[in-house]
Amino acid sequence: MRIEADQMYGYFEWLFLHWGLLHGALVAAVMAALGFFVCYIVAIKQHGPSEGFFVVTRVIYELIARDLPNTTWRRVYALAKLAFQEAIRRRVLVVMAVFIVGLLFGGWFLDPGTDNVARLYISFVMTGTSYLVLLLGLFLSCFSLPADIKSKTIHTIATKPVRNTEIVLGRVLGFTAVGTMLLVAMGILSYVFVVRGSDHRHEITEVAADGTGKTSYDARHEHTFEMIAGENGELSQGATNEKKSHKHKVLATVKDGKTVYAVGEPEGLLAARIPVFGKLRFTNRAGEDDTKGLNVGDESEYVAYIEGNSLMSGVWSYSGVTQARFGDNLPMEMNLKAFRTYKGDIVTGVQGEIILRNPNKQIESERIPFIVREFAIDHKEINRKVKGTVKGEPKEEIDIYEDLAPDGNLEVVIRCTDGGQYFGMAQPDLYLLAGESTFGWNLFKGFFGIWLQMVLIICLGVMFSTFLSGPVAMVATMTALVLGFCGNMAFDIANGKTPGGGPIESMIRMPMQSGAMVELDLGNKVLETFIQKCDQGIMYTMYALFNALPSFGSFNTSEYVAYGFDIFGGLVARHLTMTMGYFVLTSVIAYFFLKTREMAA
Amino acid sequence: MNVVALRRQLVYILAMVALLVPLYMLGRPSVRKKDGSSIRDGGTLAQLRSKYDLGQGDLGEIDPASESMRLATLGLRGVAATILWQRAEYYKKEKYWDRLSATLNQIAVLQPHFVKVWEFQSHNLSYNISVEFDDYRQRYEWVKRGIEYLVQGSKYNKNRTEMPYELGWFFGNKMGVADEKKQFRELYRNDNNFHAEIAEKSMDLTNEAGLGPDKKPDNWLSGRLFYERAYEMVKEGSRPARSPLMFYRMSSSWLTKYAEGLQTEGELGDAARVAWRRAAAGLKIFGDMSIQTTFGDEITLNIIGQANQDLIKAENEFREFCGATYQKMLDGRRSQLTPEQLEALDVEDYKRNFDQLMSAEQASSVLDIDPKEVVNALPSVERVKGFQLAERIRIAKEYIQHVEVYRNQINYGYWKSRCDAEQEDAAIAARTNMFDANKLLDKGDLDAALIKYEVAWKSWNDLFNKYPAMMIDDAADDVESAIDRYRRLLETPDLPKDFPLASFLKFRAINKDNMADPALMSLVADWTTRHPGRDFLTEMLQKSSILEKPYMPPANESPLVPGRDQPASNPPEATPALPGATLAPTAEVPSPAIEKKDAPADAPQAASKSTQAIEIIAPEEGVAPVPAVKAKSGEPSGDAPSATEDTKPVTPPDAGTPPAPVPK
Repeated sequence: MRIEADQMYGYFEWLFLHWGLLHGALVAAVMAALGFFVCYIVAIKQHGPSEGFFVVTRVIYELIARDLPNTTWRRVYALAKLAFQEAIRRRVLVVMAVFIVGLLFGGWFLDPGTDNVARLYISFVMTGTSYLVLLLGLFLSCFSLPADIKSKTIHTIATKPVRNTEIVLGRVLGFTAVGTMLLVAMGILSYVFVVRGSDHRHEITEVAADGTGKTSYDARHEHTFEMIAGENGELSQGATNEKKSHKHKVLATVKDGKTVYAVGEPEGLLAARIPVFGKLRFTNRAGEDDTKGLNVGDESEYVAYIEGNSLMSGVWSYSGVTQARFGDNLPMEMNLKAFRTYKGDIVTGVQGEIILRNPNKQIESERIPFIVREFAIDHKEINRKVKGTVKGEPKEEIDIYEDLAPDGNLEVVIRCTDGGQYFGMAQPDLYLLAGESTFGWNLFKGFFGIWLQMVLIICLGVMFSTFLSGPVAMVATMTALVLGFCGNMAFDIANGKTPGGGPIESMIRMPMQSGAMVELDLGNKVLETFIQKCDQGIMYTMYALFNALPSFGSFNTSEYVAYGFDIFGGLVARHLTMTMGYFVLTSVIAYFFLKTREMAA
Repeated sequence: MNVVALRRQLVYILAMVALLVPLYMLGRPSVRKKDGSSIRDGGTLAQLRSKYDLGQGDLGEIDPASESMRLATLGLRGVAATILWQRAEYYKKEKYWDRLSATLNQIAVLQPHFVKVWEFQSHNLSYNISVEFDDYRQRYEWVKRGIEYLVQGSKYNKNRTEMPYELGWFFGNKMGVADEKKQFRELYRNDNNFHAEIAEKSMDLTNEAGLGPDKKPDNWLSGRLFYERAYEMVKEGSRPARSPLMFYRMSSSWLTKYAEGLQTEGELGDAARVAWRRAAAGLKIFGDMSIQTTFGDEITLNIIGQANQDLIKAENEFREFCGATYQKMLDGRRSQLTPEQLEALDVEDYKRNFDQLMSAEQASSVLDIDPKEVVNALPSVERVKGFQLAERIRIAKEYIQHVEVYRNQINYGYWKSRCDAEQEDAAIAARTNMFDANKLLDKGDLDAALIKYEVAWKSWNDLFNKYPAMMIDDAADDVESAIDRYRRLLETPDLPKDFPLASFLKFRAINKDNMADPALMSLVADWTTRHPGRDFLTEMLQKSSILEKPYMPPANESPLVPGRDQPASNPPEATPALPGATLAPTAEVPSPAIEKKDAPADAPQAASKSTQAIEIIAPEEGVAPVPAVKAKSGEPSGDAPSATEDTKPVTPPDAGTPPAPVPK
């Protein structure tokens, strides 16, 4: 899983330090200005410049002075109820049946031999739910209002003492209620599906006198286990080794003079770890600070590498490292990669060392050796009392919280100790573990992310349906959805990162069979410059458009759930804020369009 | 109700029912048992489907999941598969292995009968993804995933030999050749759960034929089981997954690999002997098979000796038939030879010096008479029969050529020789003593190690003399390493004068750059068969030592390179060998193996150094002109027939008889 740096921001950090608020305000301001300008142009055509201006400002005035203050929740509720009933009449519950069928037969397509079965099951249910609910929101929101307008049933509402604000809000809330109802049911079923699907048991097949043994082969794996001697020396409790991302507890009881072993449920599959991420920097071969590591030839540049047996290292800086947060020991988890330039010792993995140090570099712990475990979470518990050095002088005992991180700031240094071999790492690959949340709660937060996406779709659908026919509104919403999901690709095209130029240049290159990496050569510099300037204009417009659209992909937090990370509260709050922002924005736009239609009528 | 309308409706219904009857007769499905055998043949359409394997059920098992997925894509199966394929590539690039695995399953479900998908993606899993992991146990898990993926694919493609062929390859090659082969083989041997899973889905790996000496499944033998299955499928009508030669060689090849694997792991006694015996038997079965060639004929690899005898017989008959005509032409050619050339022909091949070698080469080409020329010189009444006899020679030569080409492709001669050699007591003794000596040396028991080494050297010497092929394989590398250790143990820079493997070391030193040369491999592999009783090392070293002497052109000989008059006293300088001209002027391409006492006296390959010394043009001023020899163009010499052209035996020049004609 990849957690990008921006996902690690706290809520207020994002809102104020990383321009979340400013970005939202800017989108609102630009949309308002643009909306006013377009409406004014339309009004000029119908009423002339002065009256047109009056008409437009009157509509704004009516919203602020009449419709908004006089909107009542009672009427909104009534309209929402109508929308809800209409949706039920349109057999939206079929979606639920599709979901259930999907769950029933889903197991056929899922590989039970995968390394982490829960991850696969979670991804499956959350992706399925997401697609179904988003499609539901799309169809419900886009076709309802145009159908009412076309069949003139809207007049039965419009002639009642209801305001346009109430019509818009009623539709949005009504459809949201339907979606929520379905989503809750899907969430409950998903929870049961995942918990049941990932559960399995083993029997004990072999036990040696020293309390070690083997379990049966179930769910396409087996474990070895080891019983641990209790205070009075009896081997009553033990644990299996980790296989397929989980382990089991083993309990031994004596019945009728015979020791009976019982293997518990899998532990670690349905996790919700609360990670504390640090900021990663590197040191180069000279031991100097650097912002990036080496590339060993991977196409993807997400992971950077450090060379073994050199001064290269990866340094993570953490803050808020306190005993109250982490307990007596400092738990940390790693997910480093190894890259070998020669075969070396095949049996033993590539080796490295962990050093904890104070950011002022005066105090540091001894070097804690480890062997890399790739594509798996390597859990380490570091005792708070470690050997180390203070200003180069060896010390028998250093306290992590009191000596290394007295102000809560700590650096964790990773080095590779095998010459000629490399360690690969990205910022989220080493984190401190601040406890565990519950899986159910985390799954709820994941579904909340889907809910927010659904609300966004409904808002956009209702907005487009106020001035477009049903199918066109659906295409428009779908376009917003696709652009929102493919935001990254669109950004790359918009800001020129993708080679080959903008849309016009690409259109020229294709028939010319000109490679994307070579300069455009039409034999006419003026023409080339003109085309590139036009492309820039289009690209900046695209850039602005994509910035204004909600980035649906970022709302998807199913990976957190699947990979066992607790979804950060700040991230949920951020998504909620963004959704509310778009809700207000689309509702206002929808109000104006509805008002305009009414005037036209 | 309107009676007319009712009547019309009734007529329609009756017509429909009437049409349903032939439709049912035509389309009635066949009823099959679980194993696919038919209980009832069904209607005409079903029978036609069955006859031409058009039914989906004929391709392999029908999976309900696959079918529902295909239906769910509403005809956009190809689009869906393409999208999934792209996604799989992305997951691979970004190293999302779990998702990649899941996506591959989805692709396979969408296109269960597209064999390339299974082949490509299983290779991805076993070969490309497994190596991304540092821990060999994790690697092993991914190797197994690729295998399991193929096993899954086999169910849906029951008539495609590609599936068992690939499985055989994965079991053998991936587990037995990778860097971590020792660990993989060990993990596999003890992976009872995996054996049980594969047994349940595809093949009983605990079958006696697949068990190693410890009575556990061996990866090479498991792979072989799958190849054998592929051969059975061909017998039942499937097409071979590769060309017949490559397809059928695998079973015997895996047996040799198995035997090699045992030796590598220290199984040097009877277990290894049994394994090599089994490999020899496997190789014989393969060698006795009739194999369709791309030339259009069918060959048998083991029949080379008989084929050469047939050729000799055909030539003798031809010569006998042509009688005086042939003799007259031969005498005429012989009269054109110089006294030096005649003298050179009388010297044994490996005793010739460089001048004689050149002369003999030129003489042979002069004496080489095309049978067609002889036929044309015959009286007209004898020409038809003469032509028929000449044609027999041509066909026999062509056959030998095809056999040689195919044998060389897979190094058949070498492996045959190796299998025989490894069963010898000398081989067992050589390997065991050397292994023990190395162990003793590791422990520090120097005296005991010394004794063991000395026993080992004698055994190796016996073995190398009997089977020269053993001098160019991995075993010889091990022997060289052990000799180094032995030399350090003796604490002297030089080995004893009577060191048994001195000739072997000299051979290795001379040919160190040519060890992988197919011509050398073929020459040493077939030496024993071709020249029973003749000592390879002695002849080869003698020839090398003669050819290493500087070439002194005769005073009356004009330089072959115009405008390059060089002082005669200058020795030839070694020049880099041209591609394809790295071999000595004689015997650079092995002659066919002839199990006959008076076989041609071709000599072993000469030193690479001397090869360089006979290169075409002196590279710089002041260097003596170097005679052009046929070797430079790869054309074989007369007394060392090549496998590709002069595949017929030539009467040894030292026998004093004129060489046999070599028809073109």
